[in-house]
Amino acid sequence: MEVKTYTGATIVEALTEEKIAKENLYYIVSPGQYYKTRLTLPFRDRQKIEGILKYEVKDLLPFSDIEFLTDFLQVNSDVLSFSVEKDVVRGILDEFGGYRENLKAIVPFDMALFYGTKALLEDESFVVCDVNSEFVYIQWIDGSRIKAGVMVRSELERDGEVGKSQSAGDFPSRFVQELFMILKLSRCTGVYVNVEAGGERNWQIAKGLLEEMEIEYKDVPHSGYERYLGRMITTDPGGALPLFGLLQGVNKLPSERVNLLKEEFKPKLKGYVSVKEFTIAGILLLLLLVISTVNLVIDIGFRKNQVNLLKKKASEISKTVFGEGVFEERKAREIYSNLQEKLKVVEESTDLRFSALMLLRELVLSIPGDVVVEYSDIFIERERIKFSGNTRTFSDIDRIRQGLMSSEYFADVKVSNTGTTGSVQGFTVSFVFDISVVKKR
Amino acid sequence: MKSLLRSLSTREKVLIICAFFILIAFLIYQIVFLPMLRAREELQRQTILLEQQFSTFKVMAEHYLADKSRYETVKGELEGKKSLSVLTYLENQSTSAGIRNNIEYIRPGGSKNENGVIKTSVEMKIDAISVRSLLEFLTSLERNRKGFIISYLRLKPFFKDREKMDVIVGITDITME
Repeated sequence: MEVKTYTGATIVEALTEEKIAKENLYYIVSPGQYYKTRLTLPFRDRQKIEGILKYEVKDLLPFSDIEFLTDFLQVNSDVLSFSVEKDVVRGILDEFGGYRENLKAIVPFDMALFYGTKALLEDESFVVCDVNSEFVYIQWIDGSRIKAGVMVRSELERDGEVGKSQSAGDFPSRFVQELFMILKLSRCTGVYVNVEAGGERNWQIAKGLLEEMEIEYKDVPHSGYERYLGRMITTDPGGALPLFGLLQGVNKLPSERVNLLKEEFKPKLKGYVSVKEFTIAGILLLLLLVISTVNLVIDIGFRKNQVNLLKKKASEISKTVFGEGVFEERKAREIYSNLQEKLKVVEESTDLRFSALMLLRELVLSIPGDVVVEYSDIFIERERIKFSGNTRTFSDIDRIRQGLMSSEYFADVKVSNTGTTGSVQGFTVSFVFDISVVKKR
Repeated sequence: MKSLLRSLSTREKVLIICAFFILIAFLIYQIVFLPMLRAREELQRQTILLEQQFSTFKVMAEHYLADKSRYETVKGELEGKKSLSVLTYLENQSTSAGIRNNIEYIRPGGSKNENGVIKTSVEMKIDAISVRSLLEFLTSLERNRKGFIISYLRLKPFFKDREKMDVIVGITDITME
């Protein structure tokens, strides 16, 4: 960061020269343009304080029918409020012209000086005198509180500035009076001094008075904030102290900083975006949608091709295999089913496993070789065999049955009409075998 | 129009532009994007279905070709015997087997068309034939003619010589339409 001093230029001219676009801007309002009030409230809730503060402060201000803005700094039960007339804020905003939306805060000089010196000085309680061309500001800081702050003007009061009427001749006596009062209250034996550019004349007067009163004084160490502000191109290191304090304040929590840009002047988020930027964002959004749509069109085209290719391949197969040009799974299945049926009929009709001759062979082979059988009738069909005859013993019938059962061609073997017939050499056993043939061979 | 725009504050311009872009975006989404999105989903569904169908169809086509080849082979074999009727075949075979005189009758039983396959039935009665001769004769009948099958048999002992049999043979001869 650089610190520059613009003399004779308006704020707008300076900002234009710096090519400010969207940067945040902060303004330190002079002590002559706002009022400070110290209050002690029975509660500490920030929202509650916010709600009643304006009414509490109103009675303490030197005017009654003027609109004003108030913000405050809270330390325990103490509330240090800062009030500024709305017209003053309007005037400041007008000074910023087209850059008014960049303005994010109006910070009282007290706060800027407080933050700056607190960051640089380690003393628990101290008094600091900020000297510039227009006034000497005496501030007493105790711990984290601004205990007192008094502006002693060295020039005649200007229009629009607050404070007591005062002429240039009163300056030394007022300075001594106020300084003595603060030193007495603070019990400090010396003061820190910060001299801004242009304040040398006032400093000479103040310095003479301090030496005459044998009050110790020390310069506020400027080297402490040089590293924050970078290369100092200004010849006003003293003037940079409030700026440094301002930057310290910006980084603090909202409850620990004071900003007089409130109510209708509160910075709005939409102020960040210009019409042009909004238009560009909209166009980009539309472009994104158009790109997505184009991507979708390409994808759809690709998928359509895929579908057509699949249909074409299926049709080719259909034409080559089934002789049907157009792919129709149902029709293809019908053709295939018809072929399977024909094939089944042909294969079953020509398969010799279904031949009655094969069953005759199986029948002969299944009967044990040592069993003497005298057949009287054999009938063989595709699914059934019936044969009758005689054997010598009943056990022969059982053995025939077991033999037939062991064949894979026969599913069920039944024996019926078993009986005996007389003979000269003894009886023979007659039988009728009824055999079910396995359907699927 | 220009003067109207100039008279508007930045906030109003931003609002108008915002509304304009939202409207355009909404129209593009509703009229173009959404129908296309649905079309793509439909195409995706169709592609998956078609891919499944195509895969099944390919397998079916392969099976069909294999079965067709088998069918054509059998068909070719069956068509080769069209020139010789089953009755003539039986007569020729019985003559060459030397059992022509044992045949009591050869009786055609009619034809039946089953899905393009013609089944011709014939019944033949052979008397006083030895089991050995019968088996040789029937085996040669089946082996020498494709699609010729003995559909039933009835065997009874020959009353004069129990070593011989009287046989009724049912024959089915298959030809293609």
